[in-house]
Amino acid sequence: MTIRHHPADPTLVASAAGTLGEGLSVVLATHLALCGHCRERMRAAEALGGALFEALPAAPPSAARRDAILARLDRGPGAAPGPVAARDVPRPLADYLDRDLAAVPWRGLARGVRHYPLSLSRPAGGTLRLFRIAPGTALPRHTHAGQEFTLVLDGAFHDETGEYRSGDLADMDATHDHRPIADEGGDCVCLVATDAPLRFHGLVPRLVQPFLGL
Amino acid sequence: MTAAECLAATAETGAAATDDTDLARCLRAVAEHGDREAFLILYDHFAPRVTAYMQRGGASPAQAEDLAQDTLLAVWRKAALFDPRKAGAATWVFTIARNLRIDRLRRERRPTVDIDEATLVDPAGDAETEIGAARAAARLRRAVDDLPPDQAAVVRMSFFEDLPHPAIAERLGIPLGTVKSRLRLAFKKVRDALDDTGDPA
Ligand SMILES: [Zn+2]
Repeated sequence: MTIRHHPADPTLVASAAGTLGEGLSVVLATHLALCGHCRERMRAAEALGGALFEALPAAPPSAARRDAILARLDRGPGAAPGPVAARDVPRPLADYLDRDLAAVPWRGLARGVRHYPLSLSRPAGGTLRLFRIAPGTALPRHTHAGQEFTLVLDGAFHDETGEYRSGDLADMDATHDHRPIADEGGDCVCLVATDAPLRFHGLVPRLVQPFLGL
Repeated sequence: MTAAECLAATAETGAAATDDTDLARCLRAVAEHGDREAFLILYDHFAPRVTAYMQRGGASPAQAEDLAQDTLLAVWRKAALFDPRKAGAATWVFTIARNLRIDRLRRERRPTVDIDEATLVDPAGDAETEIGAARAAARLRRAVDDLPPDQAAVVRMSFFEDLPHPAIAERLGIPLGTVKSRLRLAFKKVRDALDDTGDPA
């Protein structure tokens, strides 16, 4: 798999700092499972956090706290986690998807567009859903109030910013205004997360209506 | 690695072991032998930092101390997962503290990251890994110390004050694009410091 589109640097810093929302974090983690280049970048972002953390002012802990934690070291260190059941998507996505990708009960959203919403632990985490888009189908032109990540799982799509294939992550914010179109040749299956509603403009309400609230 | 080795480091300097390589050895001693003395070295070093980190993230002093205890307990239990080829000791403990902050202060969940798939073939032996890691840590510390104030401020707000980038922009009264470009510049310096394979200047 040749991955050409990766999350932006500030996105990795936000993730390392723990300020990226839950939905966006799932898409990023799924990309990391597929992309060694970004795992290396992620380690650098976390090392930045480690260096800042190390430099925090530190007063010695109290004797009482020391004794208290020693009393809690009740059992030996845990072993590494065992193997996880085989799934047809990477682990971070599998943890949020209650079935295999091949068994997803897609729901119609608009002509040529099917979707399957995934649950997050809190509504404030944004939105997370799978899309399955028929070849040649165009989504309404939109921009974003916050961030939108699109990870291609199968097939391909293109927009004004380029061509996105399996493993590619489109990292979009309010500075991007785009109209994604699924490539010919097969359905395009994507994992999409947002941390704020999409903004549509200049379109026939009838066409946009199904996408409102996404 | 044994507790004797990390304790020897302590005895030599006559002070608590604070070097990241020593701390990594202590983590190994905890993982391999459930070594309590090695754990106390880790505890004395990291518990106060985790307490400070939690307070900056919005915890009350008492809550911050409780979260520090729980973070260090997680360090004890998860020590076998520490891999010095992937992260320094401070970075590893930081990620545990950060995840606990998300889980307990924000009550949110985060996906599991596939760290196992991140394993790279590393032919270097332990000693070579340690030397390389110690040099990289020193370069990284310098790079972070040398960040221009405007970049350092944005990076600290992001890591310590639990603020997403738009909130940082609002707080500083600057465009979101400026926040992102400062983070990009700071991140580039960090990557350059980690990538540099030469000796420290
Ligand atoms: Zn990537």
